[in-house]
Amino acid sequence: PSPFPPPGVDFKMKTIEVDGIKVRIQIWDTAGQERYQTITKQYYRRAQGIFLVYDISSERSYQHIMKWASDVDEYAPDGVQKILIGNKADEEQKRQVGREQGLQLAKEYGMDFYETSACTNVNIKESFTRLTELVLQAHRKELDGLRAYAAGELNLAELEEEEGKPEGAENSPKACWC
Amino acid sequence: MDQSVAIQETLADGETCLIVVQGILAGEESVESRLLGLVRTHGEHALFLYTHRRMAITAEDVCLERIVPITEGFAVEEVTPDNDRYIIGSDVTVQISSEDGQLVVQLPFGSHTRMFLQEISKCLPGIVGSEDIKQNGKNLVVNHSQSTNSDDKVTLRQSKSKTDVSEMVRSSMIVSDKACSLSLQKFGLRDTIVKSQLVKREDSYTSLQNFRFFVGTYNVNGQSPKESLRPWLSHGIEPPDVYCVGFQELDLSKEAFFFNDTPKEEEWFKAVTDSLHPDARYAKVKLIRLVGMMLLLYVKADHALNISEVEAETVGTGIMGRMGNKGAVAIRFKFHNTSVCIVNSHLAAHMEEYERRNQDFKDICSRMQFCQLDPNLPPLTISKHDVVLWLGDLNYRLEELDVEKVKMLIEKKAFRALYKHDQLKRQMDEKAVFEGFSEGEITFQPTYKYDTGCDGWDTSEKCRAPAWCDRILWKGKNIFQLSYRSHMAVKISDHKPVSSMFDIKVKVVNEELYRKAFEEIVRSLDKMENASIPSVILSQREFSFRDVKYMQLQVKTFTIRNEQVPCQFEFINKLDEDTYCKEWLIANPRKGFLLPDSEMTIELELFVNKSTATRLNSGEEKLEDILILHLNEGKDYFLSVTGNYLPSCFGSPIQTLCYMREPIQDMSAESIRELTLLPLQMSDDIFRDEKPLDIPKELWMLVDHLYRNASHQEDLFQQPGLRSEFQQIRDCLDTGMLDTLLGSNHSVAEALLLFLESLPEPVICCHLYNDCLHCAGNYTLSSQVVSRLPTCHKNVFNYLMAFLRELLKNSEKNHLDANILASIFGGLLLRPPPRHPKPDVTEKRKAQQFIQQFLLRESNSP
Repeated sequence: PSPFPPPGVDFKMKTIEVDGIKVRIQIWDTAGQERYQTITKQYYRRAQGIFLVYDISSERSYQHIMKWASDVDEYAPDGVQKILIGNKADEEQKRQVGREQGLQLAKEYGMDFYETSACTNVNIKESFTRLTELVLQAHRKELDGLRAYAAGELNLAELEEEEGKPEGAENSPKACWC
Repeated sequence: MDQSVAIQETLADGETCLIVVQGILAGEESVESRLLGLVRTHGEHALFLYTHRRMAITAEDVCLERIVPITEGFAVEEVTPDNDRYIIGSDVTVQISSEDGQLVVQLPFGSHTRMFLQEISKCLPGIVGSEDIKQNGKNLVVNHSQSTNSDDKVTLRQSKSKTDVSEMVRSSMIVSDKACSLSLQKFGLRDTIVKSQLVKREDSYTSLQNFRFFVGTYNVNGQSPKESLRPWLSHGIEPPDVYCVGFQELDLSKEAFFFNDTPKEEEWFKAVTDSLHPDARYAKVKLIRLVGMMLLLYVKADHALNISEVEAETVGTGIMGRMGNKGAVAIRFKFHNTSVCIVNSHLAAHMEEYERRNQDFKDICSRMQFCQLDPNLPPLTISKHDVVLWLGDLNYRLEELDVEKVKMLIEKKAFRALYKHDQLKRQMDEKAVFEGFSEGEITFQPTYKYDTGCDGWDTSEKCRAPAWCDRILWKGKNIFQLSYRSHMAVKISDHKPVSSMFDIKVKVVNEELYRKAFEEIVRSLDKMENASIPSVILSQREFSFRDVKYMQLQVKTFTIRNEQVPCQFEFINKLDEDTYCKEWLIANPRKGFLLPDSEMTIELELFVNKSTATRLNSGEEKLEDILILHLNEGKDYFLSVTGNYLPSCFGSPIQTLCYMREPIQDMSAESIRELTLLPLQMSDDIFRDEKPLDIPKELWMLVDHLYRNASHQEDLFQQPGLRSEFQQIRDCLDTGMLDTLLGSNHSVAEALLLFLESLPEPVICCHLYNDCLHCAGNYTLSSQVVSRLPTCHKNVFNYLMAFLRELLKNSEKNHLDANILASIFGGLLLRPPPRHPKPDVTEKRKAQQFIQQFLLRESNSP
């Protein structure tokens, strides 16, 4: 109905396969508006991976990433995996943030970087797969433990763990990838 | 026959034989049969190896040779014999390693062996997270974890490398039921849906491709392969893609019957292998044998990677309906995406026993069950396959013709006339057997019974009538028979071998399309799942309350309209807060349940009272809040509430009001803030720019009004006022619009009480509360305490006391007495400090007593 999702935390499930392991991802899309920031922070606590998303056609949204990143540092658990996303890559004519700028910022933060288009489905799968890989790697030890247990008694389903991924930054009005 | 009984008899008390399997011990030169028993003793396990005389029935038949304890260092590893033709399937060869050394044992293929290996794996020490998982790269434990991917293998076709296939076959053999069922617990339903969707869409990612199958059957009458089988298996044909070769009566000896052990197996296996088409390389997929029935499956080596899910089983229908002299052996597998089942049967003999043969067929169909990779699925039966090829010595004869007549018709090659007398044809016409199966036209002479070594009919005493005992039938779509013939040139047996070539269209998977279909299914499932996440539509998400006043309720409503999924909603607390909203707000109802397509109205009630007014007056707090509306197992919605508060004398400190010469709403927000936050001044000597008023003008207006209008009013302070009049009085005080207060005496009196109640610091400051109670009853001491009040508070106190004394002067009219007034004002003027327990009756009485002293003393008026 409305082009912008209502402020809040949207919640979706996605199944992807990484390394032959089926991974169920819980995606939390948090409201981007500044006034809700104090509230959205609390959702970081349960995240294992976070997309920091700006809009390549908005310099302001790019500037905001700094704020998001420091919030994430403050509130997200240690070892949370982060990826920087420049969304709306299809709107080349409205571009205000250069690809180089994105890369540069990602480099500073030591994050991977993708320019994506939720509208034309560019790099969406790739970025989700990459973040999931990073999360799985970060939890490799636990995973191996689970695998070993699985041979014994433990519920293997835990292997396909559910991850929470709040999406920081601007909400895409064109969330058509899901 | 369960040989564990024999072994159990040899064991001591407390030792239990869990399972026994008969295997072949591979030595340097020899091969010897052993019984391997898994024995449990007081929680420990060991493998007991026995030599045995025959199929062991009692303890006398077995002799304990060796005990291999299952302790640290014990491992069972599957090994693949170094043989070119041996790629997949066949018996399971395992290497058992222990501290004492190693043994290599060949175990018969099938579910029993699998169960045996599973039992052992359960007994392995340190199965949970043990280090030897990593040391023994391929032991059973690791196979367990490989099997964790097995359901992926079913649903996700991975691009298969050669190792993948052998892994796949291996895990299909040693797959742990436990691991499988574990992985299925949570995703079982999902996987089942994915699987069934994949089957539905099979056409979209498979294309039909022709493959040539050679099917042969030969009853060899216990003979050895004295001559080459090439005339049967490879002469005059193109190299087929698949060879299915079945034998009956491989070994007629008692040893074969009782011990299911025969040297003929190797001989015939070798003979077949040597006679396969020389222009192609073949890989043996599987050999399965039950007594004299043996079935061999080969594929072109190039196709080996496309063979999966190979299973083999046997069914005996012989003596006692169980023994293996009659019955069937079968191999099922998947060739690309087409499931194929090959059955080799030897049905009951003798002319008149056709009903017995029909029964054997039915028994085979019902008892032949193949394990599935997913143990939650029921076992596969023969009929569940896309392609069934059934061969064998079916033993149906020619009826109603004497031997001579038969031979005459054969002589004339009148096979059609002869075929009318064929029992199998007649039984099939009556739908008594082989329903749904097809057979090609028989254009060859009966394949039974000849004198061994020549083409002449049986000349023995029995002089059996010739018959088409040896047959090949099929069932399924896209199967085209190219030839159906016998091979007279092969003269080893009293039967002639029969062969048939088929072109079978097999469903070949296009990996890319498959992946696409798979991903689409997963996506649509995700979509479905996401659609079942509760979701609501809110009629409004931002609420702005305008000109909020002290103690004036404002309500805004909105509706929650539920979409498709029943849901429970609740306003939840924010992080680190123990309320879901600010004190001045209430959501009503706070939680609830909504059916699909139903809606509920929620009221947001904003009400500022004495406990929230002061901070709103001062601007320390604003009317701003965010509520989190949480749907159970669903989204969270943020509701934003804002508003502007009109400052009021209610809730403002006495001192602040004393500094305000103008009505509070004429003051700037900054001055209000500044004055409100000003520390309480204890004496007069600290001056701001101008001298404060003695008492707040608002208090003066209220008291003066009552003094002038209500001195004679009955029940003053005891009757409630009108809410609307209070609002007028409040507005009048806060805006200074009118010089006189409107409203009844009771409303003004109530406003006075509310004013006193709303003071953040009571008239008698909190820190003097206990002192006052202490000296209640002692007027001198009490006066001293009052003198310690800050000036403005002292003024207010004295002013109020004087006013109340005036009222008492008119007690005849207004019926007030000191007692009533003291109890009303005692509770308002004396309030305990924060965190002080709520005043009890004694404290209340003392507060009343304290005030009463001042009401009774005329002298102390200001």
